[in-house]
This record gives sequence, structure tokens and C-alpha cells, in this order.
Amino acid sequence: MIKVSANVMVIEYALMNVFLAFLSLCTYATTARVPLTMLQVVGSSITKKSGVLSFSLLAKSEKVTKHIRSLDLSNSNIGNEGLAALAEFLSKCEVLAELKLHAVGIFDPVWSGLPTSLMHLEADLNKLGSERSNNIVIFDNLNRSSTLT
Amino acid sequence: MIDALHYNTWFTHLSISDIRLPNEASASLVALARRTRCLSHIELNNLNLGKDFYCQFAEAASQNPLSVLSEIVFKSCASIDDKGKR
Repeated sequence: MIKVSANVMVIEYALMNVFLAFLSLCTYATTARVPLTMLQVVGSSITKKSGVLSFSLLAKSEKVTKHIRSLDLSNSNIGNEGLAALAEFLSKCEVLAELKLHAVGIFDPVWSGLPTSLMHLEADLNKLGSERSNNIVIFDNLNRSSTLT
Repeated sequence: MIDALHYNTWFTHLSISDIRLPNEASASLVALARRTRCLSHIELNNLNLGKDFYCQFAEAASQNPLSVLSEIVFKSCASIDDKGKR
């Protein structure tokens, strides 16, 4: 399990000379001359470990959080551990309008950090709704014109 | 065709789906990411690309100071994982 901050984790991985595909994409997103507005990585093997690293990196980049409008990470294995890091990133997104998390292995989501700009959320094929309060929080955070599937 | 995009400045979107790309084509995509000045949207769907491709593509795009790539769609990309390469 990884509990240290993102900076330390990145250094640790750099020392191991391990290059992660998704992390590389996220690194590009943080350094791109033109801000990334859409990132869809569907059917990948992103796991909790790479998810935590990558989302922590994205959360630190204002270039990403101010411009990303669409994020789709469906059919991966982010899990709740990765989702915690994702939630931190999402809470900082300012214009994110579309979020798709089909079948990402989450079951006790931290939804309170959803950005108010979110208009479209898809999170089916997860074991959501184990506690009714989670669903209530989802609806509270979505605008009236939002869609939820 | 991908090689032609290295020099063509008209097309801004590239979408490739459901074919098995030869190594030369995937290498050309990496080279395209390294030098393109006008490609803003790329969609690669079910191409059975090797696990090194996505790393190389992202690194190539990072090294391109003129890149305007702002929309990335990778689908059925099981080789994006956290095993990486050493």
C-alpha cells in the first residue's frame, strides 16, 4: 500500500526506472503546451497503484484541473483506493462536465468531492448503493440538468 | 498514411479502430506525436498495441514543444497497466 505523498512516490518510481503508461499520459497532461480537455482511457489495466500515483499527479496540476472537461476511465481496476485519489483530483476540477466510471471496481465511493460543473456521470457496473446515503450524496452533488446512469 | 500526417497540417483529428497495426505504423504514430503541430484529437480503439507503445507515445508527445494534442481517447488498451518497463 502506498501512503506517502505524490512527490515522494514519483521520485521512488523514478529511482526504480519504471515508466508507467498511464502515468506517462498524465505527465504529458501536466506538461502539455495546450491543456488537455479530454482524457478517455477505456478498457485499460490501470490498477490501484498506478491510479493513486496518476491522480495525485493530476490533482497537483492547475493546467489539468482548470481545463479537463471529459474523463473516462471505464473498465479498469481503480478500486476504492484509487478512487480516493481520484476524488481528490475531481474536487479540484473546475470545468469537468462528463465523468464515466463503468466497471472500475468501486463499491464505497467518496462522492462528496464531485465538481459542481459535472453534468453527466456514468458509474454503472459497480457495486454502488450498499449504503443509501451514498446515493443521496450523488444526487445532491449533481445539477438538476445532470444525467446519471 | 500516418507518415503523411507528419507533414500534413490540414487534419486535426486522427481516429484508428479495430485493426492490427504493424510495428512500422505504431512507430510512425509515436513519431507523429513527437513532431505534429496540428493534431489535437487522437482516438485509438482496439488496435492491440504493445504495452510500450502508450509509454512511448506519451513521452514523445511530452517532448514535442509544439504539440496541441488536447483530446486523447484510448479504448481497449489493456496494455496500459502499472507493470511498465524496466
